[in-house]
Amino acid sequence: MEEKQEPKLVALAGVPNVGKTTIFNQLTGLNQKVGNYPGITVDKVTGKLTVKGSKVELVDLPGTYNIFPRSEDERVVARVLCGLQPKTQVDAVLVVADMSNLERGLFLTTQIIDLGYPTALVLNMADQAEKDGLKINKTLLERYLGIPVIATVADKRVGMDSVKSLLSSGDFKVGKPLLQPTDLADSEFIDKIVEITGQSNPFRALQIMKFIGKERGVERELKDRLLSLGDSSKFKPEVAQLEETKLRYQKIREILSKCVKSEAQQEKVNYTKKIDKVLLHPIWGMVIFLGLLFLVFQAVFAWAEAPMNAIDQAFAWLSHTTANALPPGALTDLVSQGIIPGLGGIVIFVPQIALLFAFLALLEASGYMARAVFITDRIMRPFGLNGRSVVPLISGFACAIPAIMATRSIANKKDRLITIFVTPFMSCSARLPVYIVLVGLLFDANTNFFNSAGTAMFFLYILGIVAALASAWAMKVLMKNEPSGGLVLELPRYKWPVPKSVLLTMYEKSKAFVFEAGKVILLISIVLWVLASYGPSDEMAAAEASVEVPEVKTAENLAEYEYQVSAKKLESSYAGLFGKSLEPVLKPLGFDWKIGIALVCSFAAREVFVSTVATLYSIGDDDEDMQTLQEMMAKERNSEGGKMFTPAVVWSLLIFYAFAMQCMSTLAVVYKETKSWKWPTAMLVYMTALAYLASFLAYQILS
Amino acid sequence: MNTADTINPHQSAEIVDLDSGDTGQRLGELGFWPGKSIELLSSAPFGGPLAFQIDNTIVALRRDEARLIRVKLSSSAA
Repeated sequence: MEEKQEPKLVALAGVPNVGKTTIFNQLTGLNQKVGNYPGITVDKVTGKLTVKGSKVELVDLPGTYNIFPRSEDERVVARVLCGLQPKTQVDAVLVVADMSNLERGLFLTTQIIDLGYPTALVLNMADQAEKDGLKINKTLLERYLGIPVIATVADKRVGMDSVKSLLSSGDFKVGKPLLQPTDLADSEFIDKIVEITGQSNPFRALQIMKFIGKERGVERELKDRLLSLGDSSKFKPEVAQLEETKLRYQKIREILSKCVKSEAQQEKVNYTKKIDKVLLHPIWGMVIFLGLLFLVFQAVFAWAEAPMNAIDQAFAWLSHTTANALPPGALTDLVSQGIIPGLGGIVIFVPQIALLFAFLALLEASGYMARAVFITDRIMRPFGLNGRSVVPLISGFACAIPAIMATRSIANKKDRLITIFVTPFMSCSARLPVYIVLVGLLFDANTNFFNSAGTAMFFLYILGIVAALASAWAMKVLMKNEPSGGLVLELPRYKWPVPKSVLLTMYEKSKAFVFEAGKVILLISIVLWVLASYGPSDEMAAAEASVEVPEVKTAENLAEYEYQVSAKKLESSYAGLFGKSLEPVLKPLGFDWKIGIALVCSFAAREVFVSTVATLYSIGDDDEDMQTLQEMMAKERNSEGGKMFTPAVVWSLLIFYAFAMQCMSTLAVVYKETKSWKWPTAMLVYMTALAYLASFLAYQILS
Repeated sequence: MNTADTINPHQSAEIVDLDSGDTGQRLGELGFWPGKSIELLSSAPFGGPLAFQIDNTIVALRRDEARLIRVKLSSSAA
């Protein structure tokens, strides 16, 4: 009977580090979509493929060892496979296992078989199993499990055609259950939970019963009924789980003893152990780690510069061209000065995001990332962080946005939140132009190898690190009731990364940033533009009239006139008025209203400080004019006629920029990653309060 | 009884028992199962994590977690 309207949904499941994502990428290529599971901060990665005319949709489940959920990733798998996840009703499951490590793979596979799904098993890394001297009798294994088994070497595309034809024929089989629910609980109890959950498969019902206590996303009534049944029957989920683990391993071992022949005990994971002797060495390991970090840092910082400049110029050109092409008016201004620069402000981060994720994908796929975690874990532990926080924190020197996106690898929620929270303290590249301008005001340029300006810059970077670690420690103390993640980390075999997977990661991460965080950034930049361009109409008109129209209309004079007008207009715009209304609050820090405007506009992105200050002091903001800007600032007088930018004011401003949360893109990403406004709001308040306090102290002490 | 954090580098031991808590169970599901043999491959300095070989895989644990695994040390270092 032909009743195929919807493509079949096949779940791809497997233990971590078995090449599941490589298989997923090989099967679906660019036809992937990253979405959300409602209420869970785990990406739902789906992909479509068409083989011999039949359409199949694949959902790539996070790697797990088990159906019993202990982390967000495992929660998703448990929910999906127990049929609790709306809109993700799976028709069949393709399980991927490492052929050279079958015991663990079969643990998950047999659980999925017991859940009653039509299943097939892919034994990946067949070449490695051969090297390890393992002979697997596939036919016998198929007979014991009752499901089709395919051997593959996904990295080399071996066996992928068999996987595809399996998907097209839909030849998944409901396997032979390894355990009966009655092995684990009495039948009366099983009948009751089947009735309450309405699950046709008793094993699924039992599984739900085991994790229902920790499950938030189910109907209240179902949860209450199951929990009260659990209480009255004295059901202990942990005991049931331990019992299941024992029985399952026992039975798996029986199967393996018949299906697997291991040739004369060969030295296993041999080359990996040899490489580890160097990479995990107490001294060399650290040296290599720092060297690699330096390389990544250079890439994200220096290599991204040229494409970023090109994007900057392209958008400036686009904005200029649009302004000239369209009839003048408010709408044109909105497009050319609000929307296009806003879009530019998003796209400009793409080179950094793409490069960082290319490196992270390389490190991850080669197996090195787990080693980096291993050698840095001890250093991070006193601050409530773990080894997995190191890479995001270091990436934060380039840009907090990809860094925060990179915290996904931290499984423990608390560790991840702390890492996200403190990453923006690392001195990102957007602070650099601000630092350069301000530090330049402090010292005369000198060309010594070590100069004072360099020392001041170094101090600012250290300040960021100290603030990050101290805040992490404070959060650890504040959140002491939340469970800390330990460190249970598999160190996978080393292998050559698959270029296609690396490119896909670059593409997916950049796309996710542009489309998800981008929406929020665009919205805020339009709002900021409106605030900076409009003001009470009579005051705006007065501002424009206050500038004298030059009598001799040379190009130079007219440009000067334009600058003066835009400076005056910014002053009387809503943003300007806001800046002025901030003055009483900013006075104790040594700032005047002009700095106030710059601070408000900096919220779009910190480097906007330079262009805003430049507009306020009526000069262009091209790089060549950096010197002139410094000269203009040096000449600026305060209300008492003294120098405006005294060392006290400059230091106060520098420290403010080091600490304050002035990056809406970061806040947008934090919102996206934590799925709540609570954390971005907390960051904004905490970092800005800290900045205010520190600047206040600096100014009062130095002046 | 010794625990897994007391194994010397390149020494093997047989797992005797696991802590019954949540983390202990998770270790069990990862393959740290009574009767199996583990070898300490490397340990990070200053009390950092330990890397064990179990079956065909290498798994790193913090010392706190290694303490949840009770082992019988083999008489001589491998």
